[in-house]
Amino acid sequence: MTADPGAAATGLLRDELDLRLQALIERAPEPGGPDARAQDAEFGRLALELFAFQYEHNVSYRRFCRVRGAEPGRLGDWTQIPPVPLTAFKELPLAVQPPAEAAAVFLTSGSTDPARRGRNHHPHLHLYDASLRANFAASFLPDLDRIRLLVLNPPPATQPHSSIAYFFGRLVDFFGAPGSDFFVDDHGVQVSALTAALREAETAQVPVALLGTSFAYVHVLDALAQEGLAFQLPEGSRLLDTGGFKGRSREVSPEGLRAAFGERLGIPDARCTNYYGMTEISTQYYESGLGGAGPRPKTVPPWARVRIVDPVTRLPVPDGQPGLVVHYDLANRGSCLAVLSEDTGYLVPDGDPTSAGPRPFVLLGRASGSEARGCSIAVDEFLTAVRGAHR
Amino acid sequence: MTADPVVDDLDSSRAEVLDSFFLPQLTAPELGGLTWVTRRVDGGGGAVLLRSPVLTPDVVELVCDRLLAAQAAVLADRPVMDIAEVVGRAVARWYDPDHPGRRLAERLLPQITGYAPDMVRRGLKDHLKTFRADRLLRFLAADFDNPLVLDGFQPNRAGGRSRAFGPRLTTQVFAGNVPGLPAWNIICALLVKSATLGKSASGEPLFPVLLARSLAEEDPDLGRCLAVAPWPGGAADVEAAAFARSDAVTVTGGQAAVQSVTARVPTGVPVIAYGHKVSFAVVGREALALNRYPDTARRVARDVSQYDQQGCLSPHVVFVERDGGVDPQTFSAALAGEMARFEVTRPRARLGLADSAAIEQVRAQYEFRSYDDAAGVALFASDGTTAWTVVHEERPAAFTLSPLNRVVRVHPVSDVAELEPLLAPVRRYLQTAGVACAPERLTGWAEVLGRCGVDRICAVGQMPDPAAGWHHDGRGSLAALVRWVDIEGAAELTMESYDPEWTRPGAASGTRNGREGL
Repeated sequence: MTADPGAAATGLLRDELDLRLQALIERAPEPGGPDARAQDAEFGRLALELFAFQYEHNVSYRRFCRVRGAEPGRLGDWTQIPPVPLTAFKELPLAVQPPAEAAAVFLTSGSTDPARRGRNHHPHLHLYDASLRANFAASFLPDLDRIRLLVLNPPPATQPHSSIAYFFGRLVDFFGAPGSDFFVDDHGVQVSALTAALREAETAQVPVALLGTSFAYVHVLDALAQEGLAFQLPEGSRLLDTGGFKGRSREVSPEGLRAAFGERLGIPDARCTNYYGMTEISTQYYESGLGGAGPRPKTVPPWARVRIVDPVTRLPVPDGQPGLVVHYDLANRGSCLAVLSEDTGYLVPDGDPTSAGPRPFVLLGRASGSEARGCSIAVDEFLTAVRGAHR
Repeated sequence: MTADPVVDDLDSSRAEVLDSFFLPQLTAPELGGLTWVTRRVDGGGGAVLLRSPVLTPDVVELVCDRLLAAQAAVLADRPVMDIAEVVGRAVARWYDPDHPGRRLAERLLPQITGYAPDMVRRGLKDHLKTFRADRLLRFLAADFDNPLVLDGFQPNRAGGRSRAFGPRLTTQVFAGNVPGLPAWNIICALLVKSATLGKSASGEPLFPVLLARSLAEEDPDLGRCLAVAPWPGGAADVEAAAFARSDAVTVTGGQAAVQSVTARVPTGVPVIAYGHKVSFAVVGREALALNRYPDTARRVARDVSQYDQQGCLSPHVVFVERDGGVDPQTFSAALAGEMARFEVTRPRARLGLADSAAIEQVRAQYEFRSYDDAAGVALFASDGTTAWTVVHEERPAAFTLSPLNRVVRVHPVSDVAELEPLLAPVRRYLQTAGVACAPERLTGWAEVLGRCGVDRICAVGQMPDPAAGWHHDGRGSLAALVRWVDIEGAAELTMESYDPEWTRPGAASGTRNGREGL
């Protein structure tokens, strides 16, 4: 990957469909606005076109679809596009172009099985960039063009196959004010550099935005607690975090984390936003609005849809009922637009069943499989034990 | 399986409320003075409301003290054969299809666990056969050359005499994954004359209570030595009170439960832990003969399907030898057919979101691998449901665990020796190997499998039903509980020198030791 991967790959797949997809993404999101119904229709049209393209160019996906009797031209609407399970990204070359020609290949972290990591191929990153840009501006930075970004993650150059590193890196490119920097290296979080940056922001009254994984924040909060440090970051400062604690030694609730952000950084609850992203798709979902009590729903931008389905029948479950999260992401041009995640969630019940536009959803967690029961063994626990024995 | 605790559940008026405890140590007024909880348990077969008192450390102390007193009064000096006979009679009550405890169990356990009624009925019956009076003698014979060592000092091979003392009181943490399992724990403790304070599992809290009741009906004295009640797993204060009064602790459960209990039991108190175990089957070419393979497939299907693979005795993987009458993939197909048949009469329990998703993940993974014809992968799966799944995989990278609930992998092998590298990473967890092969090969296979870490070898089709007296997880079920006391042979001889005849005033003075005294 070069310094500007989007530019490097110009030409590849920059066809008319690509430009229309990008136009949809770059249109200012107005969920529930007067043109929501028109947007719905356009989403549906583009989804079917993109499906036809991916069906034609992605051999593995075509086979998957044929087994399910889904072919372009035979689908009535986008909800009939078969979503691929995450495991497909591990087992198959799931790309619309020869993988060698990809501008970027993002790999999953392999938190459950390091031997087999999922791969998402991106022929170019124009749509990825457009998606992250439109979404971040609308959901996290609606009031400013740029802000000083303090990233609790390694710089993208050191992690060329990490979608999170790329994401944070591009945010710095697009939205970073002078003083933006990365505060994680091979040795972990650079706590002293970070505290200096926080101190400076506090003293100079320059609002900052912290970006990072929940896990990195826990490290930082622990370090600050150990040093007895607390900051009162200036008004307008905010914080973005992502992810949970899969396979980590410690678990912290979102509420506990937000309380700690207030206590140690002086960032109020309403300025703390969690987002949900996956290597296998090209769009992030941000927590919507100001949090009240209870779980905070995630907003789906106009170029994506989320459905919640029964894991076996793959049919949608009623609003408010938990099921598996299925993504339909038009920015995911290079592999499959429809992806069946291993995360559980529910759609926020909507008083008006005829309302148009994407629906917000609440993420519950990971469907991690059988719990340990009695003397039989849970797979995850067993893997942990076996790995421990061989360490 | 869910168990949402509710106090004074509003549904109580509509559903029957059952007592899910057995505490004859407490009087009615004492019980009346406790706080009570009604739990709603629903394994998918319909909710059952279970009522039990909340055990506090004080109550546990009181119960333990009375258990210890009862054990001293009515169990410690009771002849072991007498105990075996009484237990055998109590278990025999369950052979009557109209026995109230059995009827209750057959009606409610499917509701509580979600297991198919026919599977529970058949499973309980087969399990309780293990504890018939004559089979109890096998438990004793498996662990003791002379079971009378439990009653008094008996000659030992070293030239002295030995006696085996069981714990006065054993705290037992029961498993809930397979109905009936706690019978093994309760009865083994009784055979070594130990009282039991049993913690019932939230997933299946009823059976141990029903069994304790029938033991008490048969012999109220034995009943006084048993207490069964639920308490929250890992409740440190309650368990500290119990452990402090116990001579031994058994725990059947997952890694976390075992580690948690082991860490808190006082030093010197033995913990007998039945932790995570994994089983598999090996089918030899003889069992793949054209006139044998359908029956072999039926047996393996039963092993996989019984109790929805939740037991440690359930196979995760079936190794099938090449060069039989039918090839391994044909066997996989036959196994799939038999799994489908089992599902018709004994359908698998309904699954939650996570368990269903886990099965779908495995299926998707193998579906994608099967796209490559050279991968040697075939997937057989129930249509439109997750009821059963057979994955045929020619070249497994490793011994991979099933996500349970009737998902099994079949791997062809050319020789049983090929299993060794695959089993090596999981050897600490291996338990049962179900086998099917020519008689002359059985010993050779057993040598290999035993070396790999297996502790039970049985015929395919019999994996869910360990024989009476099995060295459970490689240890004697009774031997693990007892403490030996040896009278050394030389001591007996030396004591002769203190025979009053020699020590009376005026007795022969030259006697310096027993030998000369003789």
